[in-house]
Amino acid sequence: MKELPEPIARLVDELKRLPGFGQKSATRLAFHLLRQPAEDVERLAEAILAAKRSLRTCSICHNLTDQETCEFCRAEGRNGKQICVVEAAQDIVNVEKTRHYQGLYHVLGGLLAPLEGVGPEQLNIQSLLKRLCAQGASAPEAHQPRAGASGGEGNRVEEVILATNPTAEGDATALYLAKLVKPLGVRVTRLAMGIPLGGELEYADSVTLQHALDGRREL
Amino acid sequence: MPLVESEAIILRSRAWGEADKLVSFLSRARGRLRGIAPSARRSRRRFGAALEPLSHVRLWFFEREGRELVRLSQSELIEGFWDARGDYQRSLALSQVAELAELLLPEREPSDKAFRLLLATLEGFKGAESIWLPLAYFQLWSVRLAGWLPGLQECGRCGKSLGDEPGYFSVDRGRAFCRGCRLPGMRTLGAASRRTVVEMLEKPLPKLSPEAWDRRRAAELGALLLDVIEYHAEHKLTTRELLDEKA
Repeated sequence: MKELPEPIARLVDELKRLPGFGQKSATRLAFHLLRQPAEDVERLAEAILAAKRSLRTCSICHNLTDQETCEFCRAEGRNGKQICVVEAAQDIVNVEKTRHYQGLYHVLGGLLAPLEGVGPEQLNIQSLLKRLCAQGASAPEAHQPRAGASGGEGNRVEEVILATNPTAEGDATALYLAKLVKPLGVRVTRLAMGIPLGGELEYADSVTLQHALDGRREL
Repeated sequence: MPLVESEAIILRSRAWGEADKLVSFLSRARGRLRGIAPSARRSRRRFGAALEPLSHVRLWFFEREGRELVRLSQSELIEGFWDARGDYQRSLALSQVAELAELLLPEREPSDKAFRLLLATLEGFKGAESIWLPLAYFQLWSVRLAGWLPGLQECGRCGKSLGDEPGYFSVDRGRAFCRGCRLPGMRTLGAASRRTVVEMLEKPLPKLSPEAWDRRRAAELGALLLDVIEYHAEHKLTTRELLDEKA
């Protein structure tokens, strides 16, 4: 005899494929959904489908958008002289929460991960270089950024901020990008690494402390 | 459920569940193991940067009977080897070291030789200008420790010493052949590469001269060793193509 009726077992199997969901949490969520009114569940299913069907990646920066280009690439008020390079679109949300950055973005779509077989060709690196080169006369027409946001001669990119994670893979990706971008005459910076706010020296390891010392700044 | 304390080298770590990490490591006391580091992604207090690949650490973990995965309790960084990964090519080479260690070392079989080899290789990467010498050293000794090192000094067919002549090798025959006995499609291994093999098996890595080491010799020897590994392990190495492309 089966433990669960087939439709619930199927739902649990599908939920288990979500990140962070094991058998227990998937079963709990499946039963929670079944307890909800049918219209609530339909609304949820519809929202998931609508998001999946309407969203695509921005043709300039690869952020998620429901139009040809994302809101940051379209915005008039953003500083087109800075591009912040992030691993994934959700990282943009966190950078935006700071309300401290007014530049543009570029989403890599992952990190260089040789053990997983992810090399430079699998990431959105060529499109970043094309964006940077697009300010020159030799850049192909298709890669010219939109005026007012991503470039134009008066809005030449002056700085690329590498906001990859401070991990071995994030480091390898940042080093690789820096080597490609610097020769284009663009300043390359990386997010500071070290002790987090509210952290304690007692719990910091030697590598983190070393980075914090290297990146110290004058008060 | 005893708590085990051991020196270890992290081979690979990746996100697991909501906030955990799945970590593959080579421990000195228990051999190669995999384990869960609970909340390692949410809080840096217990593990810090000590779960990054190829970090030399001291680990505390619980082994549970009948469970494949151990539960990591705490870690302390001994050496992060961040200086060893100066660029993308170095990261690729170090990734290959981790991939080979994961592929060739059996789970739960302690091997002090394998542990010392891995540690010496990481030290070698840290001080070396070129990646090819420490990488080839690791590849060669990995093949040797796995028991797959083919005979390279005499012809496997007529028994003649190869001396200063090149040897010819095919992985399925497992031996080098002389010019007269070679068969079509065999890989060439020059006399200099064969001398290097002898030198590498006799001397520790810091004693080997990096000046005598060129990229071509590394490619020749490395290709042969990786062929041997892929043939015996019946596994295509993920990092091989990426490193070949980059080189």
